[in-house]
Amino acid sequence: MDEIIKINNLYKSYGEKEVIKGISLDIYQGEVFGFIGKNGVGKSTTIDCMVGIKPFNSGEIYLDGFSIKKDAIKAKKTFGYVNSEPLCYETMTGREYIRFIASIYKVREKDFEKRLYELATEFDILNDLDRLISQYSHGMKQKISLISSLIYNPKILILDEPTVGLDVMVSQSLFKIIEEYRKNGKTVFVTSHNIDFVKRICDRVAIINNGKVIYLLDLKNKPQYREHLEEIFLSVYSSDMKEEKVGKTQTHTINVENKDYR
Amino acid sequence: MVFTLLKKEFNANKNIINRQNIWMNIFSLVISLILMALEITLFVGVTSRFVFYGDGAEAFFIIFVYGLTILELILCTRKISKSLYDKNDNIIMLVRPIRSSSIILSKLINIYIREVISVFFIIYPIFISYGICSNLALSFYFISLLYIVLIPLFIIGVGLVLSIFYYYISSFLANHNFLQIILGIAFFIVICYFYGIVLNFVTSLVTSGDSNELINFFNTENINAMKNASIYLGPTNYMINAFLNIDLGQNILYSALILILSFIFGVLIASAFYLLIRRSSFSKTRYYSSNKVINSPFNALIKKEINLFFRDTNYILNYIALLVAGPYLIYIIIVAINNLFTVGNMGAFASLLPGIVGIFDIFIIVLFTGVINSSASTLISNEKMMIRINKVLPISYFKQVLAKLCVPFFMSTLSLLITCLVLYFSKAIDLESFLISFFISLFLILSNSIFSIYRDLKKPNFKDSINNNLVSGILWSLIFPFILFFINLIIIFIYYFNQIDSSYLFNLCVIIDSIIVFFIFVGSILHIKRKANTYYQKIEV
Repeated sequence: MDEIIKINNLYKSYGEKEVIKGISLDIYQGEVFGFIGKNGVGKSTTIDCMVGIKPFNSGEIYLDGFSIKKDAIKAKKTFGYVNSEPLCYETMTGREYIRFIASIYKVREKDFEKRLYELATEFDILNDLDRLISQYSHGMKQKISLISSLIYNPKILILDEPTVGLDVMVSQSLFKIIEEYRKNGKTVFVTSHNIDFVKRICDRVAIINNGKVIYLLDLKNKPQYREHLEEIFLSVYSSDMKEEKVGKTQTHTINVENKDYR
Repeated sequence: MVFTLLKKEFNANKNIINRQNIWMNIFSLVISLILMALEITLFVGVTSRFVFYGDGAEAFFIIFVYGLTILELILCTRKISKSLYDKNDNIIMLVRPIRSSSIILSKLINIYIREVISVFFIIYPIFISYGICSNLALSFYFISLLYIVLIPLFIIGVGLVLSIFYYYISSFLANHNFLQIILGIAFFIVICYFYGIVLNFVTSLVTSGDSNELINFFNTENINAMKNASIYLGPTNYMINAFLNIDLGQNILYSALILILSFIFGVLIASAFYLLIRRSSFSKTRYYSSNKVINSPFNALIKKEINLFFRDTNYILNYIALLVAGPYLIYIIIVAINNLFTVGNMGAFASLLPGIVGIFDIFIIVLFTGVINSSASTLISNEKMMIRINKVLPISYFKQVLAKLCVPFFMSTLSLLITCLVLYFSKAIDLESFLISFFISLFLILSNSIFSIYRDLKKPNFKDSINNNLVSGILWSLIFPFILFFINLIIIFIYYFNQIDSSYLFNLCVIIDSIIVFFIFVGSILHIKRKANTYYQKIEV
């Protein structure tokens, strides 16, 4: 399989504090990849480095073969990104904002109208597209964020906590869209606190702690991981807590860095 | 509970001051002191002439204090509306087990204290000035402190009622951008018009104390009209008369009645309205846009910038309206400067060194257009968290910065052109000055905008609602015009003290200014081209 996202030995620190400590990952075309961990372990920072929001200290990130450092513009054309907090220009209407994003990615008018209709219907926001975003609820803003990242049909979809603020119906629509993406041979990289969501959609999952990948689990080929994902997830952090009690710092018996369970 | 809420209100105000950097606090202080000095100069200048002509000083005192009270009322209405009908605050408070009366009371106490402080600094100096001009006894200075403590009751009472209208009007305008622009421009033109009158008046006071204009102003008819008008300016007239020991009993009674009734009426009406507002839902205005997808990412960015510009109330009021009203403001100042150079010592100086007026005019145009167009200093900060999305867009950071500069630069150029044309057609400046001012200002505005956006890139401020970068942008925009001005001043003094033939003074200054501006412009272009990508890349939000 072709690697569409490649992260090589990524290091990132904020001042003295190192938050990403040598993450390496290969994500393949057509898979849905989950990137999970408790708050503050470096999930969002990793995504921020991947999409070019934050510079990183060392390592390399390739998106569809383009380096986000050296070939940023080409790399950025390959993915759609949804922030954990919905971000849109509040002085624009939903339609204007989506059209702005479509213009940046040079979507043709005919394709735009068709795709907007499909996505807005799917996310049940068609009737509200001409209202100012400032008047939207949190969930509606998240829908607009999602539609704006899907409107240009990117090869890779990078979703940072996409289900926050979405109701059950919309989460269902999101499942459907991700499923379609997978069928079309596209890739989804998703972080979430929602283990059920991850269990349901992901082919592979990386569990991260203290800026390192602790587990890399193949849910597609080993269904037992899908079944016990919650337990494995909890075991990472509960053992982490025990570790703190006895005063250890870095190593741990189950911390098999980058161990591939495929 | 009221005390806890009051503490919350104070902390909110305190945080606003703490968030400002030292330069912003100094800048605010300097501006306040200048305004206070202008206010006192104007009042003392006019009052001393009333004393000189023997009549009308007290009526003028009442009218002046009443005018300032009305100004306080306007400012307070905005304060009340922002505090009492703050959507976010109401959302937070609505779910807490707090009685509405406690919330209203805490907000009113906070506004009252702020109002007392404000009145003390704005109005009390006038009482002191009047006491000195009229040789009043020491007791007047103490007893007039009652005005500072009591008049806020009237201001808040009436302000509470007006804030309801303010709330509806601002809610209406929030969804009618074009109307906002029109009203913003009209507001600034009216302000400029009155500013022009005050400026002319102060210029007359400074230059020729006995000009016809001033003598006409102090005639018997005007003095009687002022006296008649002052009778109706309650509660200010009743309170001042009481302080001056005129009809003590009657004036105290009327003052107390107006103060108490206006306050109670205001509180009752606003309390009822507050409860209504808390339950109201948000408006659901629709905007229909028939525009198509633009196939040029750069043009899409420009369109986005236009959208942000014309739909942001702060921009509309602070920038666009000022931009359009700017030509009028500059015209008034240029005319005043030109008049200043026709009489007295300044006139003699100008006749010795022809061309000096042109140099001053160019300085004023460059200075004011620079200050008015210093909004580029917040272009990056104003993106706030949206900078994350901008960083993900597949467009180079340099192009993004360029797109940000285009819209304000186009607006500024338009404003500058209008300014220079107005000045030329009104014969305030000649063709030579018109062309020179236009080109020097144009390049300086562009250079300033580039340096401003560079500073904003280097140290953006995404969190605070009050943006320090705007103030530092205004301060920075003063630097280049003043550098040019001081160099010109040195040349003028060299000419003056060495008694050199001044036929070429103006041309020499212009050539030197142009060379300096050229280097500043080239420097700014090279700087932004080299640093934009690096600093944009480094921004972390």
